[in-house]
Amino acid sequence: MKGLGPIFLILVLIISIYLEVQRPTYPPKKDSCYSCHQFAISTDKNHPFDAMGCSLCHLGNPYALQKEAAHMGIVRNPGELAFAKETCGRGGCHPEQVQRVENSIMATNAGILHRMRIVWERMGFEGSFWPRTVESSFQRQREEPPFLDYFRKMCGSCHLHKEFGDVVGEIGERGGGCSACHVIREREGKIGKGEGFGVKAPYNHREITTRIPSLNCIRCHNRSARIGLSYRGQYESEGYGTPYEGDGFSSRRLPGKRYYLELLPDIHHRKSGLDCIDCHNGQEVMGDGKRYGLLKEQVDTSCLSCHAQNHWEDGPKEGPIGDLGLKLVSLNGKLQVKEGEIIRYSPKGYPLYNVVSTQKGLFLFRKSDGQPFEISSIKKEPYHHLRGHERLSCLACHSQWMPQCYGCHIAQREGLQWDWIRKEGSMPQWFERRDFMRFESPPLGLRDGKVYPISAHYVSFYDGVEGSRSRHDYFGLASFDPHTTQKRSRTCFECHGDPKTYGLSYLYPGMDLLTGKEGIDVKSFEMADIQRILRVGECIGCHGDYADKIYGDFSQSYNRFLWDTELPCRR
Amino acid sequence: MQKVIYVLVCIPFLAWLLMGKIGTAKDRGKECIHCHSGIEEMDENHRFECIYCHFPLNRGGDKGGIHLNVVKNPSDPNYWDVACGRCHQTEIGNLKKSLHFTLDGIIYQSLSLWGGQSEGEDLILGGLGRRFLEDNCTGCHISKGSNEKGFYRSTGCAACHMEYGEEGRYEGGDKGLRSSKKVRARGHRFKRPIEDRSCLSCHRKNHVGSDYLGLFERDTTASFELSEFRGDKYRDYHRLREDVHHERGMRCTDCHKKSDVMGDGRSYSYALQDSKVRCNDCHKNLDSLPHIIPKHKRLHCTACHSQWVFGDFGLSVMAKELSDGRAEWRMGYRFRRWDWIPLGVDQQGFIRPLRPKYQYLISYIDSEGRVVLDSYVPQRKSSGEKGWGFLPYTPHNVQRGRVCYSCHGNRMASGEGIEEELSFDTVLTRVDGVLSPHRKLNKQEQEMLMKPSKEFERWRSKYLLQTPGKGSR
Repeated sequence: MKGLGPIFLILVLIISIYLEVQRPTYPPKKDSCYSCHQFAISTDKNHPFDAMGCSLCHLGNPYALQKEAAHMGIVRNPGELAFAKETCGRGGCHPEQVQRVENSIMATNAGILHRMRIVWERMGFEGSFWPRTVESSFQRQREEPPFLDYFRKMCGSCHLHKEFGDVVGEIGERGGGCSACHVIREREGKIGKGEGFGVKAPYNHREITTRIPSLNCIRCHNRSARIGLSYRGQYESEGYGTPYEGDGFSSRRLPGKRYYLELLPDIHHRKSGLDCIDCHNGQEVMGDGKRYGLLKEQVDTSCLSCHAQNHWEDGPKEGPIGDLGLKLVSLNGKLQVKEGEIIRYSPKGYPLYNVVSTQKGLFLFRKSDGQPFEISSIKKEPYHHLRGHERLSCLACHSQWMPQCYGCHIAQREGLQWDWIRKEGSMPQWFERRDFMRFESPPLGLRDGKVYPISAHYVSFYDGVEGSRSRHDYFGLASFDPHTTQKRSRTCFECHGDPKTYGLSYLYPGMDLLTGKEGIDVKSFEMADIQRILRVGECIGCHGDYADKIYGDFSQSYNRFLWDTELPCRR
Repeated sequence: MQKVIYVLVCIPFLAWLLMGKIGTAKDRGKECIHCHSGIEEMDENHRFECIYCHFPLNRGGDKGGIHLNVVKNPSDPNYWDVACGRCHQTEIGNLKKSLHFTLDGIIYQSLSLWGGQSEGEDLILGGLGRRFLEDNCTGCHISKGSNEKGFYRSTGCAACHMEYGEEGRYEGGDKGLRSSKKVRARGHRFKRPIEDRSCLSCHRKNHVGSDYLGLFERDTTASFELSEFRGDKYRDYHRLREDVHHERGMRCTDCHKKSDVMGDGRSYSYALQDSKVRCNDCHKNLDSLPHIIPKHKRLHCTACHSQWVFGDFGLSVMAKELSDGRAEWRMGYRFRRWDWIPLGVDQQGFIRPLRPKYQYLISYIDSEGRVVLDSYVPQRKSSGEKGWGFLPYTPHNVQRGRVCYSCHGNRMASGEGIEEELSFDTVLTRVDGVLSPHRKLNKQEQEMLMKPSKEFERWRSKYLLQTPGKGSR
């Protein structure tokens, strides 16, 4: 038995060497997480977990070595708004941002809920309990309007409170609080193939970034107004799935068994490949802490911020880049903007750190890679300063097409459907049908007194299931930027000659399809207005130049046209 | 032995009984009424014995069972020569040469796009085009009836000259026929005048006929499925502005007379060639301002007065060969529009609305699942052009004239497509390959449209001053 002593010692030695080898060698060996998760690596410079460890974000017990104990209270996605206050928003990190996001329109859905409530009341229903935000729609009420059920099941999957990955497929990809936007999921996963005995492939942690790829936005913004699609020239088609490919349907697919056609993309996408974030700044998207009731109140993007000249009276704000701007530049990591440089500011005064005024002119630096693009400014030409055109928004002329979905039928049938907000299946099942869809030059109307492209929607809401349905109609008007901007504008005739621009259609028995209709904050033109606009079209053929003197005071010119038979156009 | 005698006695007796019941061929007509009592009498011109029409093959003979030789529909193309044709030889002769019978318009036009030139010539994959037509298009022929709900029709003369109910059942006084579950005419009588419903049993979907009623076929995909909310016969159609003539209660046959519908004895190869009714047969001396503009002389009335057209852009066709020699067809459009009205020039030089018909992309999967054709663009044999065609036609949705700018200064009207920069999909909107002898607008005509001249403006302001309050012209 004497010989066993050294053998035992050797064994102990071998085992201790083995354990030592097995111990993580990553600096700073902060969390116990490393004893298992050794092979994680990160390309994210702002959140290096070599320095920060894991538990700072993912919580759990960083001192325990057993899996069960270590995983107590762990969160898979620290960005979820449910615990963002303790993770991303913890003191010293981003407390202010989390608080802002929680109040922002993408988290509260206040805009959708506000408008739905008005639609509900205009359809002739009594105002009953109606939540202002998504969070308050979690609460159970004794009597809830069926329209709210519709919201929870059909619209309720598009807000930041929604948990990421709760279901498989398109909708599971949405939500996840901060991570919904700031995480690049595409580059996550195992790197290389080096997996075998004792060797594990390194695991690349999801990248956290402020260079948010547009794909993250389009995960949600591809329905309803479809701006995420239109910007890239994609039009959700009527679903024929043509042209066929091989023995199947077209591969030009969108999530949800939809297909798209290729139309002209927005010039900002086509020419410069700009991402959503190149125009939409952080404060606008994440909110400024105030609770806005409508999307348009939170929006802080204006064409003029870039395309107007700063010496104009109503020109954009310009100034040296401040601390916040410099911080954002450094977070971005791709831009080369230095202290003292002159940048533009958004209408609400947020630094647009990628729009830099230099000696050579105004430049936009693409946030994704720092590529510069010279910005052309609005020309001081008569067509931009025509008397009578004061009310026009840029979009009224420069929006090329707008996806329009005419006739929306919302109905229910018996069956279970998932409630995204309460996270349970319940009766009834909602479904939607359309009358027809179009891509076309948008009709024009008035929003807050300015002329904008508008989208008319005729909603038929069917209360009750088949057999006992009662129908409630609502005619609504909405206005949004279709995100199909082009350099080319509409021609004079397209507005001043074509009554269809105002919704007057010769196709329907009722000629005044759009006239004198009122949406929530959008109005269509009155018949008298339309006649006034179309009257200009009578003169454009001969007086085709914007600088033509008859447009100096058009009503006077027109009066003269009516009485003065000596005019060349009267002869 | 007794049984044998019994049987021997009974058989002749039974035979005699039956003979008595049925009668001989001579007075068989009267005997029909034994069962078919209550059946409607035909009009004076057709007040024959039953057998005169319904027993045309074997008039005198008496072979086989009685009902076996009875022809239910004597006007069926198999019998019409010996039944209706005994009196109406000319009509049936003409009809056989008319487009309603030959369908040459549909056949030649489609096959020429699919690469064929004349009958019997090799088409794609040895006759895929012909199969395409047989399986999908030529079902609307008077040798083939229709069993589709709401659109029932029988064959031959009866397809048009008899009336059919919504359910396709006989609704007359004959109890025997009433219990029949087969598709039958509503009553045993010729319908006069012929109802639009008869015409529409073929001339529906996105073809002339529907537009007269203001119907435009709805998109056929799932998200447009409204049958749960609409139960009517035309639930699969959009309701657009109907024709003013229909609003005033005119029928198809008020304009389209016999020689137009049933042929005039000559052969034609497309419908525009065959048309014998003109707007100015009734509407004479049009002297309001738009009509006297010299450059408008070349316009067909529908160029201004049609309110919308059938625009079925891009037709993808897929044939999957089944093991039993048949093919499974799948079809889908790229997009369907009614509000774009491209103009073209017809064989007589008149400017008319055009419609895409069609812009084919053909896929063919053989019985082993191999993809033989993958969205193949057919080529015309004659010119080598793409097998994509536009055709001038006569939209039947006439209302007051459209506004000047729906043609003047309108890219779609000039045939240049909706945009200067056309994409993979919007390129379909450019007028390309109008089937000869028609043509698209030439450069000069396009320019005249797109750049409103001083002359145009003078005419326009003249018109606007004449019609105060119509600022929207």
